[in-house]
Amino acid sequence: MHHKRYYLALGIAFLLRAAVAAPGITKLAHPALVLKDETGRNVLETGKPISTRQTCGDKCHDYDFIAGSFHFQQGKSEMDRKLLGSHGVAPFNSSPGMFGKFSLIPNRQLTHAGITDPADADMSQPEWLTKCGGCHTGGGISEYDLRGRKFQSAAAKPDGPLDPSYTIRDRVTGKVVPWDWEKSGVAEADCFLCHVPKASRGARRKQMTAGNFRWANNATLIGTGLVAELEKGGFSYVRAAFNADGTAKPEFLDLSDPPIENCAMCHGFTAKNTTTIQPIQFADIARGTEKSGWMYDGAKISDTVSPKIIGKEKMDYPWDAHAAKGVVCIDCHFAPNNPGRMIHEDPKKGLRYKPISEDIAVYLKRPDHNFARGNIPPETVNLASHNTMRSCGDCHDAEKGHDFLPYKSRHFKAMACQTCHIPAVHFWAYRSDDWGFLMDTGTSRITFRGIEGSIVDPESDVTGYLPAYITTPDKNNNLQIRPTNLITGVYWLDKAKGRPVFTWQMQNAFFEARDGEDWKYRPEILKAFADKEGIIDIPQAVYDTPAKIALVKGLLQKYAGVAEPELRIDVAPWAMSHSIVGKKQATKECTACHARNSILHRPVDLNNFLPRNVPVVYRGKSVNVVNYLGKEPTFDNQLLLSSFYIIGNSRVSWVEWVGWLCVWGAILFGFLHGVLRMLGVRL
Amino acid sequence: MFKQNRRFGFAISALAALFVAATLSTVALAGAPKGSETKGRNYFRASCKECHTKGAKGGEISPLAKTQAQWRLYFTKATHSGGTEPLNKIMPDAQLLDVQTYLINHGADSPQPETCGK
Repeated sequence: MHHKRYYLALGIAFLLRAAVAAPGITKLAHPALVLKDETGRNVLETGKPISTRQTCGDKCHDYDFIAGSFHFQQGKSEMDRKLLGSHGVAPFNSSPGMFGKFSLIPNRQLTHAGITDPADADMSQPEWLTKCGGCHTGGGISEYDLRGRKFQSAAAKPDGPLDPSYTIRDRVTGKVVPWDWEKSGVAEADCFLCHVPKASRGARRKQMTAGNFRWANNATLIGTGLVAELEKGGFSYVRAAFNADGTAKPEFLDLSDPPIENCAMCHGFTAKNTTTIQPIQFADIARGTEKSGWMYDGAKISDTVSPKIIGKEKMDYPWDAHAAKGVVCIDCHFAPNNPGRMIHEDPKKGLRYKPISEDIAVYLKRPDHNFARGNIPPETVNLASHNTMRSCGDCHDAEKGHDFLPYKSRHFKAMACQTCHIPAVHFWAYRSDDWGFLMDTGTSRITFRGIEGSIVDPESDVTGYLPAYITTPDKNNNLQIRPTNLITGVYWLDKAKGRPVFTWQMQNAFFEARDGEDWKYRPEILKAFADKEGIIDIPQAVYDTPAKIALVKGLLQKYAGVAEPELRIDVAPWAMSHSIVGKKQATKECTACHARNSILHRPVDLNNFLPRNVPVVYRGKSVNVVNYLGKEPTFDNQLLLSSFYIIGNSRVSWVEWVGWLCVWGAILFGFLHGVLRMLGVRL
Repeated sequence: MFKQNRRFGFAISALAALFVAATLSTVALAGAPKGSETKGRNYFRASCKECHTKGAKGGEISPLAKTQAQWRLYFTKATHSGGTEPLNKIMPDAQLLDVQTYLINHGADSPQPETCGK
């Protein structure tokens, strides 16, 4: 009975969606609304920045409820030592989310609240907003300080001269200086970035980077025709885009469910059917592409116009099978209390169907913006929402297909569906980001896999890559094999402080001066590393002797004040769930896995410049996953997959010994028996 | 006479179109240069900036002076000083490849990515 209701609800949802998508039928429009400033007055009258708190949150939506969710907090609401410890997040992080977590790729970290030593300051809250606020949508992280006080309120005041909510490290002098919140204003939750189809992340990014936080939400609307940028700074309002009653004309604002193109602006290259792929937009590499090279695009790979996909002629299938079927982001990553999409079961309470659903009015007032998500490594973000989305098995009945596959249940338990349905990645992705040695641009050495040439050159050959296989627990805590991209980093750890060495400290150790974007190496570095022309190129920036490691260690102690630096390697797997292929392209051959040269153990290249004899960290733990035996260091997952016995591939040494003993024993016995019989006959 | 001129014009136009197409396809087929960007930046600073700075005789030139396609075409033509001398008179071919890589990768229309947070 309960299933009937569930399917009825689903049916209505799909019918509504189909009706909306059907040509000639207008979608249910959002009511026309007045754009208000922070005092609640129409911006047409005041000319002030739009306040979403007033515009969206005044009567209809619960602004504080929405802005309290992960998309707006980014970990700020999870700054809890106990929580971090219980999820194995290293103690030098202040949160498990992007706002507080150390990330190897920028080698930056949000400065902890309460520091008293300037050496402990890395990225303050205002700097975080200027660097990361283009994507991260304002609200909690840019309206409240680290102690929860609202900026520009009477309570908001710095706790000392180093308070990371009220300071920034000056890029030129290196000193920690105050941040003027009155000048920058705050960036309220940017509802437009996701809900306005013509939103411009690039324009928003420009304002955030310049520290004009209060104008960021206006900038997002630049493509709608509602606002115009002023030469002197700020924005004006275009009267023609507003109705006579002062409301914004719906054809300009066009509020809707988030279209996939809006999600794509921050999350990875996503399109319904696009043959020109632009993974770098507004100076940012689409995140999903950067980390693992996935594409969520319904177009056929063979139809790709740009970039140059090598071998595309044979790829007469879509970049992603779900995208080709018209599945959009919010179909899977939905608001958990959306009555049309929510999961009507509660395993914790033993309910296969929970008949109580949110009333649509309640949902519209307080839509849960902790969107349903899976749980794939290395993400620690939004801990409370892990495994809240439907899994593959909730839509597909795998047992009914896969007729070629013996022991189906066993396979489905041991392997994530992605293992066979992402047999290869046809795009490029990060391979390594090496912060152990800085190049003369003052930054790390980055390499990519799956491309020959530069990622910014459209003439480069995009060759794609084959994933590596790791194990992760599924939502029932069963260990599963799944495909991943490996990003290897090298970095220095400040053992005395128990945290990675900051980028500014690295720069102090490596360079004696800076001229614009050109950094001048210290003579000691040049002497030890440069080629005969005095240039340190990628092949030279290598720790190939213990003496070079010792030299840089000494420089970090001398010029950066790092008491106990230690060079480390970090291998981070970035799992993927997009770029899914259908059954025709999926891996089906038994021998792909069940053979001596199983793909599951294929040696994946890491970073051919990896130093030797330094600690290796894998997913926050000391696990040696680097094999140095070959010409170049490769990923070694023997230990990770050791709990799986893969017929035809796995070898158990004692079983092999017993087997060989039996064989040779039988031969020897037969021989002895024959000899004895022959001797017996003669005697 | 007029007809003959038209035929001649047509033939010239066709030949010109073929030439342009051939040139473009050569450029396209050339693919991405496989030089070193780091070295290219150093060679560019050391050899080119001497004359190509503001107020110097060559006029200011930076990677942003041309688009990626224009740089590609420039290195396909491979001439310098208004086409009067071959580029490899300025520096050896190996260094030219590095400079070409640097200039194309930082051309005016190149999508320069910044790592999040740097």
